[in-house]
Amino acid sequence: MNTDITALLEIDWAKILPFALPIIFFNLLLIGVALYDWFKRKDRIAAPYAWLAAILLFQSLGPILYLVIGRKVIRHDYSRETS
Amino acid sequence: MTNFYTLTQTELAEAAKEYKFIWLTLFFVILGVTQPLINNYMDVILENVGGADGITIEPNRPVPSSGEVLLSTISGQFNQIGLIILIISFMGLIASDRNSGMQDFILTRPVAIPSYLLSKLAGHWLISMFAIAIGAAVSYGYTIFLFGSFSFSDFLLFLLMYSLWILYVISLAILISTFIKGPILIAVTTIAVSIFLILIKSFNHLVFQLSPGGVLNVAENQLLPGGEVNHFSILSCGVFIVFNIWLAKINLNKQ
Repeated sequence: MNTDITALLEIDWAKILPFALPIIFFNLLLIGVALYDWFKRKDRIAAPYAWLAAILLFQSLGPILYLVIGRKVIRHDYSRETS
Repeated sequence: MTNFYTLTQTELAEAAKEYKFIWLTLFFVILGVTQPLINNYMDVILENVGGADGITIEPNRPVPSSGEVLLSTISGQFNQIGLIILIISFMGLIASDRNSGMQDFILTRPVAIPSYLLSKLAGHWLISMFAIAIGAAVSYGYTIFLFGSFSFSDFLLFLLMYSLWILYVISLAILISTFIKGPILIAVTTIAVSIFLILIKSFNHLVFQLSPGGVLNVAENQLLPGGEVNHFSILSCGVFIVFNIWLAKINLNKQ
């Protein structure tokens, strides 16, 4: 992951935007699908906030891994059964 | 036969409930869009974000033909990272059934093992080819927009051959999941075997050409004619698929 933020300021956006746009759009759509599912299930899955960070920070691989693995790992919540 | 249709339908319904159609398609579209764009705008990208002062790109370098770009999309993106994600997405196709007890439930009904296995094969093949076909079509659109025209019938033939390879990978995953219990281990083994098959397919010997990966040679020849291809590898790939399913059936019978 590139963490040098200042490089973003030097980019000639007008030149790079036309072809970066579809890639950014589809990536945002993928993140949106993953986030929608995360909001529905965040009380049931294990380590929900770690998965939220994974979805938001890792480009395209994070949402996929969440949708394949994360949403199926259900938390064992024994406290709820007794109450 | 009705069992087969019902099981395939449940497979597809499950995938739709997991949004698999949406995100797998999105992923392949991202892969398909990225490669032609990077190929075309490499100099702009290097100039702006590369931090590459002093690197010059030959201004009169040969522009790749659209066939070459499509080939690099498929063999560089779909067949590596795409294949890995695809296999991870169906690593639990039999293991999760077994762990939840669903397999015992299905197989104690009057359902023949072949129709159970074939429904898995058909269901996951339809899901994967839906995603791959849309991703490849978007990639095709971008490629002819940026690099010039390419015959659509060749592209369709290529997709047909490539779908055979995907069918083989799914049958391999089914076979391996009858041997191994854990889903992660199944995914790793399947990925290792299929990458190995992709590696050995390009050796110029009859044994390697008739290996299951040989059908990829035929597929790539549709995009970029010229190499030696053995059309019998289509047949041999089919034989390998049937063999995998047969072996998986014997294995399930034993358990």
